[in-house]
Amino acid sequence: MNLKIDVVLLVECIVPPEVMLTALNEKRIKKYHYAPGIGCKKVEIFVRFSSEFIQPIHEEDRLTIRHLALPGKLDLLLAVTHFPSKLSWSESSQALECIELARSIRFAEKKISHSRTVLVGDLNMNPFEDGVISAHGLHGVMSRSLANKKSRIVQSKEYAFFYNPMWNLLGDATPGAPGTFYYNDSQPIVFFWNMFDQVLIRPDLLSIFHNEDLKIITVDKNGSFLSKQGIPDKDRLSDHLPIFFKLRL
Amino acid sequence: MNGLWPKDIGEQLQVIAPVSILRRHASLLGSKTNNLVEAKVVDFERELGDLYEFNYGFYITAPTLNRYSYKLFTISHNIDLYPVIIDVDAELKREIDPENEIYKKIEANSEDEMLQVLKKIFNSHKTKKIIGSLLTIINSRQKETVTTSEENYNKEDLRF
Repeated sequence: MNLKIDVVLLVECIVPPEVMLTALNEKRIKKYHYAPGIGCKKVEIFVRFSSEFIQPIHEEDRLTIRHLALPGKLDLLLAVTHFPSKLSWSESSQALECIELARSIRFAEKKISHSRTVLVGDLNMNPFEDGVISAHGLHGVMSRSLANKKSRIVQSKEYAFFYNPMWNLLGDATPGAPGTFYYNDSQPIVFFWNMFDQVLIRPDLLSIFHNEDLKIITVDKNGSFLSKQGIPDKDRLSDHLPIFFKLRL
Repeated sequence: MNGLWPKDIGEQLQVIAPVSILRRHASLLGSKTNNLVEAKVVDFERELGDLYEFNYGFYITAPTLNRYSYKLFTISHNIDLYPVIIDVDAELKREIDPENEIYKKIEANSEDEMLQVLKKIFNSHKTKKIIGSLLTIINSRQKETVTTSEENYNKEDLRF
């Protein structure tokens, strides 16, 4: 499977960028470039075009928002985050922090005067959790028709939607793994598979995103990302599975 | 008619509002960087889930660098003005408040306490590093001849 990826987004990457770049460019004609952030060091971005086309416009410790402006193409905002983990934050704290994340995204959208925004990252939350769902959080909804309404009013305030296509990949009725992160514990409520790695899309970009262009990746030319137990092979690779998506510019 | 209101109603408290302190110190950064890097205070509209009535963000900005901004910290308080809750990220918290729990927000109970916390934030390695990085990038761009990359993107889709 050759996905011909143009933009590689990594969080919690312990490999130094120069080592990653060398590995990415091995035997490759069209090379990747490193597109570093300025203040955000928790997200690493590599692109197969000049990094001048993906400049950071707003950052925080765990968030980088890039203005992706390729010549002759529709410009958009790419927000990439590594959200605090459930190991140190409760679900309520994560939900409260989503208010800040949503605020930062609106701040960047106001700065660039449009809301053609894609939010990607390890949210450390499932699509159905309060922070992702709630109007003052990310406001991610599970259907295009809902998202196409653009926004809704809650308590006299207007909140813009995100479309969250990750809902479509939950469980085993769709191709790929049932989630992107597996966690088992001896307590009564355990989801086992979680969809922590997500992409959310503003309604203004829905026309260039097709649902079949989103996948959870479990294999590449070097083999499976899963262990013999069928869960992410964290000893050899990562405890998360990567997601792939395409925007038809 | 004398009315029921006391004579001293309407007098302002002899306390400086936390946001005024922030704005004052934000305004001082530009003069140290030829206005290449500035600081800005943003008044957040209160959201349904906000725990406090007044919320502000403190941003480091670079007007000439695609209007880049970095959110350094936020403050929140109620109508009483103090205590002020100062929320910094884990890295900054570790640096300026190592003796307390990493995810516990910093609380300033007075103007003096707030000034002490702000001093620690502004003098932190992290803050200096962000401002230094921005100045380095801006200066290096000024030296470069502006060239348009020939690596134009001609594909019809973009794959992540």
